[in-house]
Amino acid sequence: MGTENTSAAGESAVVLAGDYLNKLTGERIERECRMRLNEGCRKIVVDFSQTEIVNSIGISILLGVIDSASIAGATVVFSDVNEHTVELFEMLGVSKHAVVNPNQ
Amino acid sequence: MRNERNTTVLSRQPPQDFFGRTAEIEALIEFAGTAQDRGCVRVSHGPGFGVSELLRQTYDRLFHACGAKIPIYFSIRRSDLTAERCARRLIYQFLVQAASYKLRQPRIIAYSPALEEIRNLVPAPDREWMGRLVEFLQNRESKSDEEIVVGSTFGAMLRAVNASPAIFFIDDLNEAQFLDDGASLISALDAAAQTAGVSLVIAELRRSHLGIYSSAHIQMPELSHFDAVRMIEANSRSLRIELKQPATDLIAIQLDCRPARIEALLRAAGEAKRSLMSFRDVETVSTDEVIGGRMARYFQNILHDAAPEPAAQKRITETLHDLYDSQSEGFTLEALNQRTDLGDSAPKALSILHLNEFLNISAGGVSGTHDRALVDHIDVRYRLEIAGGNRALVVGDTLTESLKRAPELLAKLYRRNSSAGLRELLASFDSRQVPAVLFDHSLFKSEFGGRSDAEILASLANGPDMLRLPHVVHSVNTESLYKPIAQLIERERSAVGLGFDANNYVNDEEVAWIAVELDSKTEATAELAEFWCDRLDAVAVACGFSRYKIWLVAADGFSDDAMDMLRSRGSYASSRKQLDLLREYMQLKPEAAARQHAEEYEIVVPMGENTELIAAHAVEEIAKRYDFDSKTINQIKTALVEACINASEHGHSPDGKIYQRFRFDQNKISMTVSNRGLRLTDRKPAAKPTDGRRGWGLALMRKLMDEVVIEDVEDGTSISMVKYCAPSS
Repeated sequence: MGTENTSAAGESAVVLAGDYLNKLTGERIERECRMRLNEGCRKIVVDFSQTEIVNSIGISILLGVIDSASIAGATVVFSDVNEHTVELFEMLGVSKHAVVNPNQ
Repeated sequence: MRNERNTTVLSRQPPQDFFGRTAEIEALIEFAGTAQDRGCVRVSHGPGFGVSELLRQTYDRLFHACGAKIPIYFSIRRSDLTAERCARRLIYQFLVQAASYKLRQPRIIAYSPALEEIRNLVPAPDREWMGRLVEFLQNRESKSDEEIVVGSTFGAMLRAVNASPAIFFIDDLNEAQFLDDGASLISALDAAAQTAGVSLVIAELRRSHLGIYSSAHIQMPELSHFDAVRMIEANSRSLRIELKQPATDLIAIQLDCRPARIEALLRAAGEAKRSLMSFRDVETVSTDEVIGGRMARYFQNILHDAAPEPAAQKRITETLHDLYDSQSEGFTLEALNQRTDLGDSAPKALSILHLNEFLNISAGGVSGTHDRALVDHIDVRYRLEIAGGNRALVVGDTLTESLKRAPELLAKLYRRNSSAGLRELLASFDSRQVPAVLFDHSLFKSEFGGRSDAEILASLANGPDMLRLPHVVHSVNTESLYKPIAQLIERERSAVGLGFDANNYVNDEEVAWIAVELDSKTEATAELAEFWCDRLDAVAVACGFSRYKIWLVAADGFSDDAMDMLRSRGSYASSRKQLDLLREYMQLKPEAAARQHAEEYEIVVPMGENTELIAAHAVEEIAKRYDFDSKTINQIKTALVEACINASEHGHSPDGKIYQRFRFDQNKISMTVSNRGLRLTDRKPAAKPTDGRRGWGLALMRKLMDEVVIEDVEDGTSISMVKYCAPSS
């Protein structure tokens, strides 16, 4: 079962970040992740394949997601992250708390 | 802590608001810093060029630099009445400014302390030599021989300088002529210029030659239009005048980019609390100024200096009015003398008028001025005082005529700015070899049509047929040599380069290149090209050029028929693209840089959902035009997004808009994001503590950009960011 931006299979869920990670999309991701964690997911994959720009508010919300996942004993993976967003994650310390998979 | 270097001592503007004189300031600073212990630099300038502020800005720089030489600024004033009083005031200023410098206390200058106070203020090592000077001033008695008095006064000061080297900035040197025995002051300065321990900078009107020995000469050029606009914008901000384009351009061009005139107009607007948002605003203030404001008083004072007697002033006014008439061919000197009828006072009067550029007296006769404000003032005076016009009508007419003229002035400016820069290009011809194809449009079109600039340049580098350029020793606008051409083309669009072929300075190798930039929306036709070839042939004949080359330039080049005709006449023809490639090939600075004109873009977006993305995409498109690499573009976009979010979230903006300006220089992008609303200092601290994860926007900006400055502006906040980068290869 999944929403338009999420798909779930067993203990993993994939959440689409969208083209612009800002406060609005960050809160959506946060909501969806919370739902999946409550459903018992143990691995949340946030898909950045369509994400062109991120801002600091969106990133700070992601850190909240990581905290929530950690409390629930789940892991968070950021997948298909473009080079620039990888740079921003490193600047703001996100990479220390989640797995960041750059796009190929 | 306030940056000391931004604190003004004598200058009237903060250094960041003083534009266009970097080269002159650097030259003067270098002179001040030389180990050479004597010398004089003469700074010659036109009326209203702002030389006083140049000297004061240089003074401030030296004051803050704490170098070995004490900077001393002194302006000669006719209110001193005698040369001796002027010299004594110079010593007093020397003492005050030296004390201020030694104690690092600029305020001492403003306090004008008494002599005894100065003696007690200074540190012990300087007390002896300064004390001797103080005693000298206190004990002075007037002597009958003015020259000895002035000479001895200077002598006392020069002995003091031995103890403490100084650099003197002597401003308004031409005022010395109004002092009793001003000649002795000039002599004393001349002697000082050749004295050990004295470095002198003298500011003199460019038509004046008072004969003071100088080892170097700086000719202060007119301020560029670009710098004049920046000056207007900065001064308007500090005077709180609302300003908008194209009013800014109009002010600059109407006042010939003269800082003194610009300052007068802006002060008048500030005092009257007028905005300068439209042509009407500008011309209303300008009309008041030329009729009865600071500018009018300045012109009146010079006319009074030339001829104190009212009837003589009237004759001068009438003569100038006729001279300034656009149809006037000028006068002979005899006619000028006859018309002004000044008798024995004529030489001095006409000299004053010539010096202040009310007219130009040369071997060829007498001609008028290009100073628009002066022309307007004389016209008004003539109509009021000589033609007996009704004042209200004259004021109204002056305003309406100015308004009608305004669009023409701006049109001239726009055409000038878009011109190909032929004079500067010809001046760069130094007998090197360049690809001949750049001077033949149809050949260029057939070989390189549709190819990128990079491809073309690569092909040119591989040695096609070459053309040897002449060695141009002097280039000038054609109009300067042949006035009738002005009826056909703007001044900047035609130039003559005089020089020699093959670096051989002999008669047979002497050559003139006559170039013109045609106005043609498409490829120039044979008819148009022939018209211009005939005109330029006439120029050559009139100027007596025995060997000359005609070079036509048209934006989109020339038709095949035109090229056939031009080849048959031995003329060259190029498109703008060929010109740009020629510059590139010769590694000249591109025309835009020659005008020091960065590319600027402005965007205003409403605050709202994701509007920062509009700005981000816009700056991405712009940056791509300048070939910046994708990493840099992404960094700039993110920083811009953060700045926009900052403006939206914290500003409480009354108009809900984010104002952005992007400026692209060769290796640098500057962005300013500003909003109206709460300033930083007005914002209350956060009501509840954050978890440390908000407020990252500023941190990101600082990491992504090379410079970030956040500052309060009058009505909000502004974030300025700079990224230095190299374009992608």
